[in-house]
Amino acid sequence: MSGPDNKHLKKNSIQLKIGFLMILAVILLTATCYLLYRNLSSIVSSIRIDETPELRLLSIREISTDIEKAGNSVRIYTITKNPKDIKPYYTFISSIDEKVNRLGLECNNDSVLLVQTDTISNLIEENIRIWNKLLVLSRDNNVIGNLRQLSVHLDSVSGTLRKQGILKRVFSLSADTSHIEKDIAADLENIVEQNRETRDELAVRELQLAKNSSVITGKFYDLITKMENEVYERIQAKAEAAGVVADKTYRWLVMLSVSGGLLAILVIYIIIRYARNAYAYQIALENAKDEAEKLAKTKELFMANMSHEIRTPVTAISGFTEQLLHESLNNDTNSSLKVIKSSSDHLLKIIDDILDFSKLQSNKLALEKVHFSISQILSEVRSMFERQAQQNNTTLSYWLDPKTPEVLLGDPYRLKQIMINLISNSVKFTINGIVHLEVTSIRKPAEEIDLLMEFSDTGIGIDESKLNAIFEDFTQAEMSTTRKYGGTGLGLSIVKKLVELQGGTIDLKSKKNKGTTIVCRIPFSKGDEKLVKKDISPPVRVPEEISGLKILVVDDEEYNRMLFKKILDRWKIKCRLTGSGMEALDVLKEEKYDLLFMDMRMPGIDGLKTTRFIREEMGISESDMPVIFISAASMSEDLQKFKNGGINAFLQKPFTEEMLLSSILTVTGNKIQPYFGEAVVTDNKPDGEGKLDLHNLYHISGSDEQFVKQMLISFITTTGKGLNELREAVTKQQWESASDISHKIQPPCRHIGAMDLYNLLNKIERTIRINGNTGSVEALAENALVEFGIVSRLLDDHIAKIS
Amino acid sequence: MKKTIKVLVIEDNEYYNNLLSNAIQQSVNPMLAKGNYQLVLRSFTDAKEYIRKIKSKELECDYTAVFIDYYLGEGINAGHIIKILKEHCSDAMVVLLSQSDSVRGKSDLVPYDYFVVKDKFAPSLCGLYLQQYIENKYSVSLDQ
Repeated sequence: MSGPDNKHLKKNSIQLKIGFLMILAVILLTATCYLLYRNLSSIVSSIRIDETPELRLLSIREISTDIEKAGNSVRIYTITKNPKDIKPYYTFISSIDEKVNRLGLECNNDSVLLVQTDTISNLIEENIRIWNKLLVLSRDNNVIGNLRQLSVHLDSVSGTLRKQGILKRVFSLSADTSHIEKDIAADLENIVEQNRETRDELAVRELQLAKNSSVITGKFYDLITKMENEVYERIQAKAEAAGVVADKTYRWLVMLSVSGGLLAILVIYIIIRYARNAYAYQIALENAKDEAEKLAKTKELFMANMSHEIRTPVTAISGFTEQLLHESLNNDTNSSLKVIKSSSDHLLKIIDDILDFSKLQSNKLALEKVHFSISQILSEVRSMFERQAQQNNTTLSYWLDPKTPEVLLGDPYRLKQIMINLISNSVKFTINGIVHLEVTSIRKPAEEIDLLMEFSDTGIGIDESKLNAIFEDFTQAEMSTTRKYGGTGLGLSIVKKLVELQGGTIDLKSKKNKGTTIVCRIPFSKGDEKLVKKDISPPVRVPEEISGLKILVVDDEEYNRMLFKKILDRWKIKCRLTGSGMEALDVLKEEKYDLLFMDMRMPGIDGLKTTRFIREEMGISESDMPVIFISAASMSEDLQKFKNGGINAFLQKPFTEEMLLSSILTVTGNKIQPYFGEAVVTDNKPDGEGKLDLHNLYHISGSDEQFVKQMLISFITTTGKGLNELREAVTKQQWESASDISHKIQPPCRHIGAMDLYNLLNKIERTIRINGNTGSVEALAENALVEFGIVSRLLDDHIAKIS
Repeated sequence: MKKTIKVLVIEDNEYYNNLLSNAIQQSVNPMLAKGNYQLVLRSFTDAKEYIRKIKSKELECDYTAVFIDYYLGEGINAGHIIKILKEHCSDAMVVLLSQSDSVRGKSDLVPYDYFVVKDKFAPSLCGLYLQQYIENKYSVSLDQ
């Protein structure tokens, strides 16, 4: 199974696991809630039920207290005979029935308690009978009257009370009462009559009756205690049952909590593991992305370096071979040189193809948009292949439709490249035939046209079966073609990509041994004739009196030295170039110079120390040999220090021809105030979409393209080398050295208008000098390398155009 | 704590040895005046004695800069001593001196940083090289 499928399955499996566990957690939570609800409800309901027995107990206690009070009241009355003391007894008697009935109602649901209540009721009844006997024994007629009155009252209200109430049963029977009265009266009369001396004996009997009452009361209390105990036992039993339920609930709760906790830990573990894996994948992905970007940058840099590293020596070989071919040499040497020339040119072509292809593949090829003359391009292309066509005995011609606008707006270099590639192929594959290019245009609205170019030849043609593959990369019609005619198989592929890049189309028709016709259609805007690139401002007028000067230039940057050499040679000024302060001192020991250009910052001894040595140790005065200090940095802050060090004037890098001349005139002519040159401010149209501005270089060169080419090659070499040194210094954390290197390579960048690169280098220098390493220098250095890759590619394109 | 600038001069000509030592001392005076540095200058006219002392470890070999004449007499040249020196203090600046510029070619195999022809400028040139080296090494400026 493939990698992505595995990852997909793994991701799904994690989602399923988490989903399952979450569902489990929800079920567990629901079960816990239900269990808790059920058990808590049970406990609450048992508590509610227990409220009732407590009320019954209260009633029992109240009755018990009342009985005790009544008993006490009777006992006190029997002793004191005070009617006040018997009142609590009457109150008890009047309320006891109601209270016992209430207790009966409260115990209505409990048969055991109901039986007990009846027993209590009977005991109270019996007790009251005894108390009544005691009261009668105390011979108080009021009592009997009161009791009778009470009985009548009770009879009248008996409808609302229990039918078989205690008092009713005790007092309602008047016959019984009169019977007791008669009995007691008879007894008393008998006793009074029979033996008044037996009063003490009667007292004993009263005491015995009281004892009987006490026994009955004790029984009553026993019953109440028994009832209370029973109620308490029930409460206890319910409490125990509730405790069992609570324990059970607690156990369930613990069990469910532990399960829930474990589940949560499991879910968290899975999520953390997933997050960690996801983080690790993300880091790996980011690293891979960084690595890929780094590789892409390295590739770009490598391509840029390769373009230079291969092209420069090959260009030199080709150029010098051409020079040698012009010299009169013997035939053998001449033919060998021709082979070298042809081989090196061929190699250059291959390098250009590969570089273009690489740029097109990575969409890095930028199109220019300039005004150009189509007829000029056609003429140039024809002249390029005229000789080769003649050698093949082939007629090369073109026709430009007069209706086609003369000036177009677009990329003339890429248009020319398309023409060159196609005509080169036609000429190469056509012997004793015709190669013709016909250029017409189709008008479109709003100043737009489609340029139609028909390339036709009567060459070897292409087999129809191979037509579809002909525009593919590294493809030639047949293997034998490569062997016989050479080439990379990239030509037509590049053409197709270039046409499409410009928004055009390309069609090919061919027949084996009949010839080939290729039609390209590319959209362009109409151009403005006034804006067609023409060369540049007039050269600087150099006064004759400076022609005899002898100047020493000290600068470790080769680009600057070459620039000096070119300009000074043109002005017919003798100059010697040195790359270090030490070298300059050695030269000055041997030779006198009229003027010295001294770079400020150089490896070894810096410019100021060298100048000071020249002035103080070698005794060369300012009038004998003025020193013009050159630097990319602003001089204003250290102006006085430099003047004290024997510096006569300053020239800021990068400089223009006018600035250089002005500085020379300042120190050699009228000895006027030193010239403080300003940095070149370029407002000309930039090259390479604002990445470059070569106008000043062209201006200085006096339209010498070979010089410009040489300077650009020098720029690529020295700046590339400098940037590699910079990277090494940054890697080794040699910040001082890194700062010096970035300082050193800034001026040439500024001079060719590579301002992005210049700004990066300037920032590196400033960052190190102001803050030390802040951690951003590494990134800046990498960016500078990438920027250099872009600049060097643009320069390569420019060099190729010059070539 | 002061930083120590240790300088070694090996020149078999006593007069020239003194001349060099003096120029070196002068060149670092502005730095010493700042108070954070001290100079330890050792000079030898007898190369054999120096080699003996180094081999017997009587001397430590931790120099900041070494100024050495190429021809040191008795068949010894700067190459022998520089080889020993570089084993112990590889980052020391080495200034090679000679009467003749032609030695520059002969001394290809000797690792040195600067070559100074012993003309009238040589002592002050040596001072200049030392000054610049110290400035770069310690990131200080001796310019007034």
